[in-house]
Amino acid sequence: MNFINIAKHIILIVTIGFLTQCKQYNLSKYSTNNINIDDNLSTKDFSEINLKAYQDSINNEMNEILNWSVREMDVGSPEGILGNFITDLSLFTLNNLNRDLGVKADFCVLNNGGLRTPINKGAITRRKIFELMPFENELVVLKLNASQLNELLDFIIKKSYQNQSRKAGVPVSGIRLKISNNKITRCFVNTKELDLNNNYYVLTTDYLANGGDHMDFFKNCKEKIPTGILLRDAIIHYIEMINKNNTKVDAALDGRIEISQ
Amino acid sequence: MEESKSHNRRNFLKKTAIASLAIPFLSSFSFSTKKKLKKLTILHTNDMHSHIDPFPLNDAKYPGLGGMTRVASLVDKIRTNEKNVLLLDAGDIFQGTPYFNKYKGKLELQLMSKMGYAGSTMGNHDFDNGVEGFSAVLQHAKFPFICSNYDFSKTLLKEKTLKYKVLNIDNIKIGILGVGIQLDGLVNEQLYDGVKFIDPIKTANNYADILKNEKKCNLIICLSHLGHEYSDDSISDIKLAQKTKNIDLIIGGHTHTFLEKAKKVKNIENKDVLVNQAGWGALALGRLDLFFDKNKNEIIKLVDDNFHKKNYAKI
Repeated sequence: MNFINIAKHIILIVTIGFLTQCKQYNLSKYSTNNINIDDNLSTKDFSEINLKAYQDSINNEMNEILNWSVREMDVGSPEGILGNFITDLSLFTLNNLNRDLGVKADFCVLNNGGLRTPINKGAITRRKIFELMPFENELVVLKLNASQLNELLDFIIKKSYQNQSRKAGVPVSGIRLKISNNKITRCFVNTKELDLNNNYYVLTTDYLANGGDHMDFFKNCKEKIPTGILLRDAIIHYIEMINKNNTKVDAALDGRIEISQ
Repeated sequence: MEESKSHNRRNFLKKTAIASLAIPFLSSFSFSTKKKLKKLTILHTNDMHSHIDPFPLNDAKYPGLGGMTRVASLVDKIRTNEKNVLLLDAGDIFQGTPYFNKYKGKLELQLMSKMGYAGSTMGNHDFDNGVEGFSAVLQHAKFPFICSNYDFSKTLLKEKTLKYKVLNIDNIKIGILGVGIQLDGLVNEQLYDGVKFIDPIKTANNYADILKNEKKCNLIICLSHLGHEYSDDSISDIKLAQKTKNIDLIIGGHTHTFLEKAKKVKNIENKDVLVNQAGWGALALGRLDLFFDKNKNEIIKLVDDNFHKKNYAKI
């Protein structure tokens, strides 16, 4: 018998031996530890796709400082400094800076889920505003009837009691609410008490107007007026504008939504 | 005849001799498979949200942290130390930095392809430029999108995503499925026009059954963009784990949940399911090291928690 034959036999026997004891692999033990990506790690340069060229192009455009913030601002529930700042400037942008549009809103409602990152204290770059509002969301005005208004208020009550995530609470401007035991005990639109017999015009984004973030009630509004203004552009324009007047970025909590026991 | 008989006998004796020679080799072979466990290292990200670079140094929350370019160097390092590495993502690759506004997701997918991702599922923000926008940059992904519960058959994404994927790594057969969140109320309707959402629990059970019983997978992973856990009764990764069977690991996203390590949850058959998520913004890399043996033992034991903390604290 030659070597090839011997080798054939060995392979046959080993294969049979292997097959007879080949059971399924089963997961029997594990170890888990997620790793934080901190600055001890180096960065990979991805030179093969020339990442640097993309980085330089983005940095040129986005590192521009638009203004400085007096404080760190973040979302909150039932009220947050960042939400107050953004809704205030949105309402101001429509009602005071774009009078030629011929449309005004009584109050503004946005969503905290859409404000993606806090504004840091100090220099505010164009990049920061893109990170805060990355979406191409347009400001729109909706005419609310009594039932839509009631649904909106119920929604605000529900979200105001939450405080578990960044998405809790509803940022508003131009409307003040006191909530007690899941009911609204006081509600002012600007300086007048809310009157359900009135129609109100609310400023929001096209995303929310289409029922985004589960604001279904906005979907049914009969009258929807686009403004052509992107929310991100409104923020950038406002921040640059006040910088020209040597005003720094700042906002405060002012009790516009309050929950009492 | 006589000669032939004796020849056969001689041959038989030879064969027996060879077999007896092979026995010690065989027994040592079986000894080594029993003793040595097969190791599979699973690395995963979710909700990277276009954070290619580390967060700016003046960021209020994460100054100088995170970034896909850093995740890439860590993955490279782990690949040099581990034989079997599987890199996965659980969606929301897009939207969050100007890279997405300017390059529409092309760059994120190119980087992930270079990093050697084996698969991802779609998150709600991956629809931010519509099915059309996603479809337009998909060519840059050299890895599949696994979307089990979105029916794209009436859209541009028809046949461009997978319902499930089977991989073989070092003879461990791995089945991967992917479930996405209900888009209604999260994404503008015109952006997902024609996409049909199918119940994630039913879908996951259906494909996990196929992967386990038809495809005979040794490990079944569900990529999920449902979210880790909610205070109300919305479907979440924890609920998905509890209400399904045959799934071993759920890699989650959407809620931007930072977990120190994977959670262990009992499924509908009282078997263990691991549920993990790695924050967002490429600020964390999920890591699980799974050990496989050939015993029928299906009880999962937690072992040596800290062993790779030692190795990877400083890289």
